[in-house]
Amino acid sequence: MPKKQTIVIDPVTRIEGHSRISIHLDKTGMVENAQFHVTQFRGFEKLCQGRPFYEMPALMARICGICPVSHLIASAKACDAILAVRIPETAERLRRIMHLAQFVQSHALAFFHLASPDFLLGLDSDPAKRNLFGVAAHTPQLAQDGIKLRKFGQEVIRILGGKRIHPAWIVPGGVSNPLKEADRDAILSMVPEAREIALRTLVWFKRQLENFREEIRVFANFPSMFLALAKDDGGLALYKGWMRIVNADGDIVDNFEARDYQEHIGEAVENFSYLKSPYYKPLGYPLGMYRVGPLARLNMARHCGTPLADQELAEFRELERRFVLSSFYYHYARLIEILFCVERIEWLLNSEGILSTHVRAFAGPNEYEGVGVAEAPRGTLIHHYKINENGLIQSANLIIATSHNNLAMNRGITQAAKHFIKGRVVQEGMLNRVEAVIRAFDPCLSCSTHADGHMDLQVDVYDDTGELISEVRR
Amino acid sequence: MCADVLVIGYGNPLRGDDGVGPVIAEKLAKLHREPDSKVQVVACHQLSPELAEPIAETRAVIFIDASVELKPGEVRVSAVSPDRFSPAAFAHSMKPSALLATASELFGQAPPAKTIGIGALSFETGMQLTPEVRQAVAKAVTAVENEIAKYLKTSH
Repeated sequence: MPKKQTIVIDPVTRIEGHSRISIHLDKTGMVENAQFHVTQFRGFEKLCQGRPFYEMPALMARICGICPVSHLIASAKACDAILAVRIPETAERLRRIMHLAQFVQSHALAFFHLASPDFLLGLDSDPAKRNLFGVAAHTPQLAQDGIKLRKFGQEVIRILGGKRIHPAWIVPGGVSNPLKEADRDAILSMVPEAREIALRTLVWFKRQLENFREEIRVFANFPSMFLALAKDDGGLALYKGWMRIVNADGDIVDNFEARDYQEHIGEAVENFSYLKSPYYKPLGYPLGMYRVGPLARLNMARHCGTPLADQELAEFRELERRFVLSSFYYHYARLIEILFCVERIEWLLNSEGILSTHVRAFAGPNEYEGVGVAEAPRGTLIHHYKINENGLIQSANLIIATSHNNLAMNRGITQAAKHFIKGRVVQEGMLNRVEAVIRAFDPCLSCSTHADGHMDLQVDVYDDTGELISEVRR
Repeated sequence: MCADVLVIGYGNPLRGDDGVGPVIAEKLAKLHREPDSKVQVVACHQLSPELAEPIAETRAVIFIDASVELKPGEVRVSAVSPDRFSPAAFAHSMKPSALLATASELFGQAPPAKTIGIGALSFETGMQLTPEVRQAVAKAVTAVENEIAKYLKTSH
């Protein structure tokens, strides 16, 4: 009988586990395929039922500890649609500032805290040192910079929202309070340092690329479609825009309004994961795979709209002749977006009327249905609510950014595993590369639980009888 | 931020008993809300690295978290020390020990720290605590207050 072995990479944050990677070997010890299992994600739709729609933004902000503002904004926009109001210009700009600040802190966590140890110390380095502490020991400034950028983002959110983690400042119809001059100046005073950090990190990271040619070649590097919001002129859109799907050659495949998303995007369910797999409906499942997030956005954007980020975007475009297809470059795109966000925050804070006190439109529910879409740090986030005549939520549908990349992540880890793992003798560095593919996408599973009692990482190798033949815990 | 004691209650408030940390933190925040309080209370979803800075600036830190290792409703106070060992893979949260190590290595010091664990039963979607865990909230608040009192006594 041919032997079939399974390698399981199991990072969990409690005993049942958040997520897991399993790699299936064939009889010759070569990789057959790999799967990314998310075991802890739960739909929050049921929790919404029966609640007054205007409570949704504050409730939805509590879903995630990493990107609460994205949920807040998508939810508030869905509520704006139910009110059928156009929110005041100043309110939109203030929402944008908070949104951009969250991009900075979220991207900083992904780049500095999770990914930079691989870049600085190497994918084969001692796993006990391949972490933030290893980074701090090797290049203290890099570790400090990561924390400073996190703090910048958190501080902007705290100043605007008054509460760091789950600000209820963004409300249906706008924001609850205008910006005070002193608060504007406080944020502006923090901008130069954040911009310097973004610039020097880009310089450093671009120098590292040469060391990762092999990873660039096989880290989820394949033609695919990309989904992101886009402005009329093709500029980078984070807060609002068309929902646009382009192919790997950059041709527009589809362009539609957020409220029509269900005609274009389907959601498949696989039995190995709680995380749904959205796909582009006209092409069906799984052919309709697309990628979202920083790589998708920068591939699609003709320009960012701020001077320094546009210079970086031009250089980014030179990486490949057409679209940038390697998911390794998600990290690069993330850094350019950090720079863009810092520049854009400064621009918005200096824009005319930003201190206006007209920051909220008031209305009762005028529609029974509302869809709110925004770009979250990890990609397009969709909130869709239906209410009854009393304004109570009848049904809610949420498509989170991480799920859009589910199909691509699965294909990506299979590609990397096939390249790096050959035979029963598996080095830690090989498995780290498979994990690093997932890290490039930076999936957020923070809507899971955070209780004490977790294993950090487990790697299991089984033979065809199901017996554990190798085990690594770290 | 230079409180004598920093209290951090964390967990997901929409996942049943996982939210017990923030629930306790909110109760403690009400007990220590005077502006000159020597106790600062933070409620958050998960531990993230920038918390290392305020931790390094305080004299003691207390973490409050749901635990799957304790019996439902059990409250346990444990000492926790800095530990660099933290291969985070692609998780976005940190352990108290790793956060203390970050405080020590990036900001120069890690204060003495305790964790208050509350045994959890259910992590299903919802904002309600199970009766077992709800009953343990008062006990956990007392446990935290006892620890705060000890730290304040020794720091003056």
